This record gives sequence, C-alpha cells and structure tokens, in this order.
Amino acid sequence: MNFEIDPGFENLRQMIRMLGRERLRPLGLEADAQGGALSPEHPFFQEVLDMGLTGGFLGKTPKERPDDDGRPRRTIRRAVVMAEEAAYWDRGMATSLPGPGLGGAPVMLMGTPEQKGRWLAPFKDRTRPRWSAFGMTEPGAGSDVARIRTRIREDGDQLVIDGEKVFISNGARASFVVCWGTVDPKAGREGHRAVVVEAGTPGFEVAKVEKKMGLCASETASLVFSDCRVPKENLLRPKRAGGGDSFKEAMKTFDMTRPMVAAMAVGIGQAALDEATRFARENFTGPAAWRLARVEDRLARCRRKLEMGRLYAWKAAWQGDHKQPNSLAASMAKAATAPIALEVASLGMEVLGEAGGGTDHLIEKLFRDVKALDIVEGTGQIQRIVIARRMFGYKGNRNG
Amino acid sequence: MDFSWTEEERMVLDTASAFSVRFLAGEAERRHEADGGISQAVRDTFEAFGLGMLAATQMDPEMPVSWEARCGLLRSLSAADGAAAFSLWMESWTASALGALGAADRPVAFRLVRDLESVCWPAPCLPVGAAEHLLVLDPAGRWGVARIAHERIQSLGFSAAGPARCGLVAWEEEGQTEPALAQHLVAQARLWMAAILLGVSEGATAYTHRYIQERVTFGQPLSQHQGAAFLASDMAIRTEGAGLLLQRSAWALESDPALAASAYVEAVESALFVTNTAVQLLGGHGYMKDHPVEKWMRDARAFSLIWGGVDEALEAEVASGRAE
Repeated sequence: MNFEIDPGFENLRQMIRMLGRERLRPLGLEADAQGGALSPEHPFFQEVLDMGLTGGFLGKTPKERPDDDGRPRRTIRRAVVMAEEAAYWDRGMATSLPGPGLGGAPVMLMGTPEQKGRWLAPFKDRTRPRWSAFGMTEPGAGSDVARIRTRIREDGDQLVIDGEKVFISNGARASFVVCWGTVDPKAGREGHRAVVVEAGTPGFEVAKVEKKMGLCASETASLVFSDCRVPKENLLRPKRAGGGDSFKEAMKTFDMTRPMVAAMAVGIGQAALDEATRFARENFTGPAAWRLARVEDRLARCRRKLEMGRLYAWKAAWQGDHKQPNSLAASMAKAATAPIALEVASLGMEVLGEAGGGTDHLIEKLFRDVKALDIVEGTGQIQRIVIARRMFGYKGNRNG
Repeated sequence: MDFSWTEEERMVLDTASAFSVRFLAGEAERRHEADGGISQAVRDTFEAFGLGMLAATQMDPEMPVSWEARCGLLRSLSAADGAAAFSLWMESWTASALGALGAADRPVAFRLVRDLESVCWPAPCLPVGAAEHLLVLDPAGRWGVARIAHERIQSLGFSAAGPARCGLVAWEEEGQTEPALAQHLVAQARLWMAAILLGVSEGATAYTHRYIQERVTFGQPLSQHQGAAFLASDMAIRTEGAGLLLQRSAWALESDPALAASAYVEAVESALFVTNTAVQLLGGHGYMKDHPVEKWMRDARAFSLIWGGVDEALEAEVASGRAE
C-alpha cells in the first residue's frame, strides 16, 4: 500500500493552488456577493485556458484504456487530488472552469469517432472558452431519473425533442447539452436515449438561471426543449448492440465523477477546518483561553474525519484507474464525505461563534456551499440505495 | 496512492482467514467465551500457522510484512472472535515488547497508562488471561513489570481474553526508554486495538447483511425494507472508512505514529455504531445469545474502555494537532 500523493501530480497541484489563492477564492467570493456566476465573457476564463488548464477532469479528459505501456492509468487519482485542491479554494468556481466536463463524459463514453471529433475536438482550441452540459434532471424526476419524461421522437432524418430540464450546471453557457430523454415512456430505462443539442438550435431555450443557497459561482440553469429538432447523427449510441443501455452508460459517468465530488467535499471541509483552527488560535487567548480546550476536541475530530474522507475518495479513484468495479467505493465515498464536510463546516462555525454567522468570514459561505454536495450527482440516500443493491441485493429502487 | 496487497501480504491474510474460520469462529467462539480463555492446542496451532511471529514490535528483516498487513491479519482474526484474537496476538506482541524494552522474558499481559507515576491500582477490568505479570507502559517511555494478584471477574465483554481485576503485588522491574520507542509501542497498541474493533465491525456487518436477506418481514426479506437497508448500508460505510484510516495509519507508523490515535478513535466510534446496529437489525433475535451479534456489541464496548480508551487517544490526537 502507499498513501502518498503521486509526485507526478505535484506541478499541476501547485498550479491549481496558485490559481486558487489568486483567482478562484476571490472570484468565488465576488460571485457569492453578486448572487450569480461570472459572465462567460469574464477574462478569467481565457486566463485559465492560457494556463493550459481544463475544467471537469482538470488537465486531461479520461482515457478509455490503460496507458499504452500497459500500466494502470492515473486519470481518476489525479482528478480527485486536483478536485480537492480546487474545491478548497472555491468549489463553485472549480466547476465553472471551461472544458468538456460532465457533458463531455457521455460523448467520450458513447460517442463515435466522428461525434467525438465534432463535439470534443473544439475544446482543443484554446482561443475561447467553451463549456458543455449534462441534461438529465427534470422538474418531476430528480433522483428518480428513470422517470424522465422528455420525449425524443423520430421524424424523417431528424430527432424531435420536447421537455424540460432543471438544475443543469453551465446550462446557459454550454456550447452543447447532452439531453436525456425517452423514446417510449412505458419502456422505462430501455427507452432512454442521449442526444447532443447544440446551443442556438431552434426550440432549445434557457428558461431561467437559478438563484441558490450557495455555489453561486457555478451557473445552474433550467432548459426548455419544444419541438427542438436535431439531425439523427446527434444521437449517442450505447456501445452494446441492441441499444437501451444509455442509462447504464450515464451511471458509468458517475463512477468517475462521484469520487471527485467526494474529494471536493473534503476540500471544502478542509478550508472550513483551516479557517476555524486559525480563528481559535488567534482569538482564544487571555480570558477566552478556556474556549480553546472546548474546541480542540472538535477540531481533532474534524481533522480525523476529513483524513478518512480523503481516503474514501482515493480508494474509489484507485479502483477506477485499475479498471476494477468501483461503484460501491464511489457511492461510499460520496455518501460518507458530504455529511463529514458539512459537519466540519458546522462545527467550524461554532468555533467562530456569533462571528461565524456573518458574511465577513469565509466559513459561512463554505457552510452554504458544502450542503449541495450531499445532493448533487445522487443524494446520500441514492448512494445508500446503490450500496444496498450491491451488497445485499436491495431491489426497492432501481436508480443510482 | 496504492491500495493493493502484495502477493506475500495476500498469503498472510489468507492464512489468517483460514485459521480464524477453522479455530475461532462459530461454536469455538462461544466455547472460548464460556471457558474464559483459549486452549493451548489453539495457541500452538496459531504458532504453527506462523501467525504469532508477526505479532512483533519490530520488522523482521528476513520476512518484512508491512504494518498494514499485520493490522489486516489481526482484523481478519477478530472478524471471527475479537476476544480470542486479542488473547493470541497480545501474548506474542507483549513478549516482543519486553524484549524491545530490555526486560526479562516472562509471560505478561499489557497495560497502557497515561502516567506510570500516578497509575491507580487495582486495574478494575483488564484482559490478562493467565498472566501473573503486567507490562505497564506510558507514552513518555516509563515502563514497569508488575507482579499482580489477579482475580477473575465477570465482565461485559472479552471473556475469552481472561478479564480480571488486577492488584499490584510488587514492581519487579522498572525502566525508562527513549521517547521514539515508547511512541512506537503506544502507536502499535492503538493500531492493534483498532484492528480488533474493525474486525468485530466487519464480522458484525457481514453477519447482518446475510441475516437481513434471509429474514422475512411484511412479506419480503428485511433487506428490501428501505429503513433497514439504509442502516445496513451505513454499517458498511462506517466500517470501510475506519478501515481505510487504519490502513493509512499503519502505513505511516514509522513516520507519523500519532496518527494511530486517530485510527483508534475512529475504530471505536464505528464499532459502537456498527455492533449496536447489528443487534438492532436482528431485533429480538439479536438480543438473544443464539446469535453472536450481542457478544460483538459487548466486546466492542468493553475493549474500547481499556488502555485509557477514547479520552487518552483523543488527548494524543489533540496534542499532535497542536504541534502542526
């Protein structure tokens, strides 16, 4: 066993640390103060591209096969280390970085070489920032994704899409959205298909950009598709013959991204812990010294839980890199770390006392930001359903 | 980062697993509990399997087995019976600790204390087996070998490890070792206890997961009720996390021995949650002695009280945080 961070990750990590301190943190606070994401035209996004960084997997999109020399890849391990570092500075800003991101992943997993060339290759052009989006959630189908109602029907050589999508990250600025819908609502998952819809396609509109409790730097949009027509070539076909496994393909995306979300939770928690520790050491002196003894147990608990959280994420990433089934570890990582990070932020606020509730301390923002991580990419309850299904054959809910 | 075992480590773990299934689990567990100890035959077999030699304070250059693999081994034994595992493991380890401290060889049990100077007697409830001597160690490196008057008592848990009230008869040997060795030994003791608690948690989780798939309530297996399924999932989540922290702390034993206190506290917390949940999910059956889960719950609670328990480990954890 080995619990060191690969020395090969260090340069990129240092780069993200610098970017985090100089830009992600201050810009994240700015976005939080204004209650919404930075404009896509903000010069920061071009700066990021000029540095050679990409959002989503931060530096590299996942490879489909182990590296050519036959050794296991390191993609997901690198991604969790960078995700933690970036989220430490600002999770909302980290997910707003331009790059193929979540929408790119299904194209990577299910796309033909032509489709990859069409939608992923443009991200190599670094002269302007681009985003993509992943459109699965609907107003009536959140965790219960098998119930999605967006209709996809054939009409000649076109696909016609009708439906609504909500909570779509980068949805208003994406150059394309991978839109999940059904060709037959009665067929359940068998009827699910994923279609790429490019921005500007007639019938595709951004209905609303959400106002949120936290993560303000990350754009969240509601999308409407009405009689939206795209060529049939925009359908992403699952690799298995016969089709119908799009849902499983979507779930594979989660096996890669859930460890990253777990690592992000750890990053936010670590930022809260550092803030609380600094506050305690600076302020609990003299007549307030008695408080140091009270809070030290809490701080030690937070440190321990975060270290454990990091290990959950690392293990899921390591398994993924070695092509071992990692759904169980990924779900455990996500289920465990989000509540840990919230607890750390919450205990951290107790350390600050009344000052913790004001907006002039970072910790109040972290508390709001971190709550989202127990909801996005499968709530804690969905993770438990995945775990129960894998470990002892729970059949009650088929999602996750 | 790398979470894999080497071939040698896997062999050691397989051996431990084979031994515990044959000699510690099932009926043997209740017999050892009733007897208040384990037979010489089982001890001899433990040695014959080559497992006792791994319960040492130093790495054998001839056969370097990592600390994380040793913890895995002890965890595997404890998944069958934590009390028997403690008894087998600590007998060998304490003998090795005596050697490391330069004390005379004799059968001893172990007691970790906060401060040797102010240690209280009698020790009200310690697992000491048949030992007539106690090796007492504090984190500052003060140690002593005490001859004890031990009185076998009924205790909440760890009956197979010989619970006794131990009075001090006389100090037979005393010494002061360098802080590095003391830290190393204290960290090992905490890792061993964490491994035992993790093993108990793992055994309880596996047993419960099997049970809820067989037990039918309201027309379907208990595992299909979401309220039960979520609790059973949480057992696995908690055990996994504490186990990872144990592996990480064992891996860092030489470089960061203070981390062992963290692994210990987490192992205690998760074991108390997991074993209680096991009894809860088995319901009335869990409360009866026909199933082992009630014993595991008692063992987890009793084991996590000795050697200063959570408070002293937390104190060490806080101190290491202060130093950062």
